Amino acid sequence: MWRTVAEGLRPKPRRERRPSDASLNLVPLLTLIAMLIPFVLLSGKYASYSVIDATAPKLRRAAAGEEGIAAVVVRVDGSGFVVWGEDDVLTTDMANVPCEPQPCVDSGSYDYALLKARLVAVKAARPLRREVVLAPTSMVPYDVIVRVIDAVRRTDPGPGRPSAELFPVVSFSAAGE
Amino acid sequence: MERRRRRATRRTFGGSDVILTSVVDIMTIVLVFLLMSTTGDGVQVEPSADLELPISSAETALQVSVTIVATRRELILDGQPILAFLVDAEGVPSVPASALADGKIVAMSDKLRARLAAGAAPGQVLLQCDRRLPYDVIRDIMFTAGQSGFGDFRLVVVKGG
Repeated sequence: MWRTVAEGLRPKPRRERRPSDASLNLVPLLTLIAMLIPFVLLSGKYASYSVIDATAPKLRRAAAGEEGIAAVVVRVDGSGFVVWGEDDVLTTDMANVPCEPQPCVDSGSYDYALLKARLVAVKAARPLRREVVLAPTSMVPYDVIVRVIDAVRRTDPGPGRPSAELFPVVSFSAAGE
Repeated sequence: MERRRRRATRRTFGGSDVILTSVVDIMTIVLVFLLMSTTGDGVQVEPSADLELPISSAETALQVSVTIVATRRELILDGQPILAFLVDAEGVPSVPASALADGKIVAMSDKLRARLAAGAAPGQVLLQCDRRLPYDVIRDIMFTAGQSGFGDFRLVVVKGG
């Protein structure tokens, strides 16, 4: 830059171009990505699926007390549940599990907890029975049927005790309309 | 003076080298997480507006099987639509009477028998139904499948509840 004494003490004219500092600062970008990835992963919903085993419905109509019907039949209609068996484990009062208020407008109107309580009483009297027949009427939504299956298969876990088996073998029938 | 300023600038911005170590670490962790969280069971469930699966406390895992999907509008067997439901003014679907014979859905019965003839293992069928479907549609589907050699149903539900 500086000329020699012989050339005169004057600064050389600048011909060299100053190299521009064009490097990108990636650290903030990496920080942003590192913050975003956990946020997106945690806030996303991953649906996981499972299956319920069931058997084919019989075409004929199921009626109370009919021979050959499994020990427990749960009828599902627009007013609630009706539970009956081949013997007198359940009294008439215990057998009905109505919706409150009437009629049942959606899947949340049904009293699944009371249904489960009735079935616990049946299971206590008939501990070897494992099969239940569901007999919904035509317009009962599938959502209600799945929730009924959940209610009839196992008891709820309580403090200090796991859930116990109720009636895990589920089959379908066509209810009398 | 210029040299000192340039050196300070270089010190502040860390030079022009890109440090990829942290990026590789992040990508590896994300990849491992995604691999662990995918089910890999080979069963495809395609959610749509016409197919909302009910929620259940069931824990049994899915297995590959003959798959029947009943949305609010149509019946699909192994990815092929085979029947369009009749939807009334209130949006309640039903099986057209013309599609039934002896209580069975004819198109579905023919396809299932063809599957059996082609070597499919009889017995199990995976049933994905929209939670709003009325029972009479599901009954027709299940009865048809039962009469066609597939009497064991695995009802697909969303874990929860």
